[in-house]
Amino acid sequence: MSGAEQMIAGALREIAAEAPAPRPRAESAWRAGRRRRTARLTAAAASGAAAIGAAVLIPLAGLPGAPVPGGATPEASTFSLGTPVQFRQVASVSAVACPAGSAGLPDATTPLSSCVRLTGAGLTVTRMLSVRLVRVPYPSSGYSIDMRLTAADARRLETLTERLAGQPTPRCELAIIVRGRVVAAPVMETPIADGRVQITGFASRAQAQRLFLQFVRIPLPHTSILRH
Amino acid sequence: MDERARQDFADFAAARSGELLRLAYVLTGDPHAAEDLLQSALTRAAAHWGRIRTAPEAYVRRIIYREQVSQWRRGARRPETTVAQVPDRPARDLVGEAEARLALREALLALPPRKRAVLVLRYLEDLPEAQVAGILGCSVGTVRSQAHKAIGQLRSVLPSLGLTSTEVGQ
Repeated sequence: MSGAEQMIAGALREIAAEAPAPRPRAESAWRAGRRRRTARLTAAAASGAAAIGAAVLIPLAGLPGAPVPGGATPEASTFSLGTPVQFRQVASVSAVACPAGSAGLPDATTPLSSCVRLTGAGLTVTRMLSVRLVRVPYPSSGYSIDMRLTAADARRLETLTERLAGQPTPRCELAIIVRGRVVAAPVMETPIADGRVQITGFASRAQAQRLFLQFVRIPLPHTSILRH
Repeated sequence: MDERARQDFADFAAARSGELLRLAYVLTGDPHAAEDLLQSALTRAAAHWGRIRTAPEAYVRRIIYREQVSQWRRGARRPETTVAQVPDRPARDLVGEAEARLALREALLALPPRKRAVLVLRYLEDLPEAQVAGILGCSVGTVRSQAHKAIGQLRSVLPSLGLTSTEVGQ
């Protein structure tokens, strides 16, 4: 080390030595971390609905792929997604980027390099009843994307999640894949029976909106999507 | 199963929080920001505990570094974000070693977080450039240029950086 580098190292050590004593907050970190992980995909009817405050709905009517107004049945008012969404069982996860040409997919839920490999179990969804971008109020704070699957897809998702629930990690994780990236990989503790899927954990509106716009296909200005 | 994982996590946090908080503090220069940074990293670690429990510290350290750098990048556009408190000041002729050390510390805390993170990794943690690049998620060239610019910035405040007291007096 040069003289300058030694001086820098010494000054950094001095600063580090002045750090305050840590206050043990492991329990709250654990609870927050597990909640975030298990809440990424949930049956929104109970806990999800309670957590959602200022739900804001994109005005789908009149847009490309929008539901048909006045549809006779809920199934008649499905709309076509801008990009298909896949739900797949996770087979394994490695802490390195996927090698070129491998069947793994990058994990967009972590800033670190990660490669997710999948089993053959899963379903692809191309139409939904609704997709909403929702602001979650304090203390959960953040944004979520709430989806309602068609009845047929809801049954397929229930079958799939029944199979995953209770399996050892990571085979209990359900990867949600959009455009070749894993955007969420929640642990399935209980099956999803009602076709209501909520992806949470977006720290910012922009982050949630980027994914949301992929679903609905059309670039809208912020103000027409979120109203506070 | 989950109870055992929770206990493992609590043991890890109890054993390593002191050291990790020192790292967060040297990166942020602010006790509250350091606590927030550590807490955020521990929360992420809890979320991925099943995958990282065999080697959690490397994961947490990487999260601390990356969050600090990205928080700064996001926050640069937000006027309410805490910034380094020490303003730029003209170079001056420093005589005493203690005064030089103090000036160096102030200058280090005034560096942008990415540059400071590079210096912490290179000179406090003593890691090779390739490993620094891996942790920060950038190229070796970026690490090299950031370190070079950071030292240049320190020298602009402290021209005597790297010289012995004899050399300074000459």
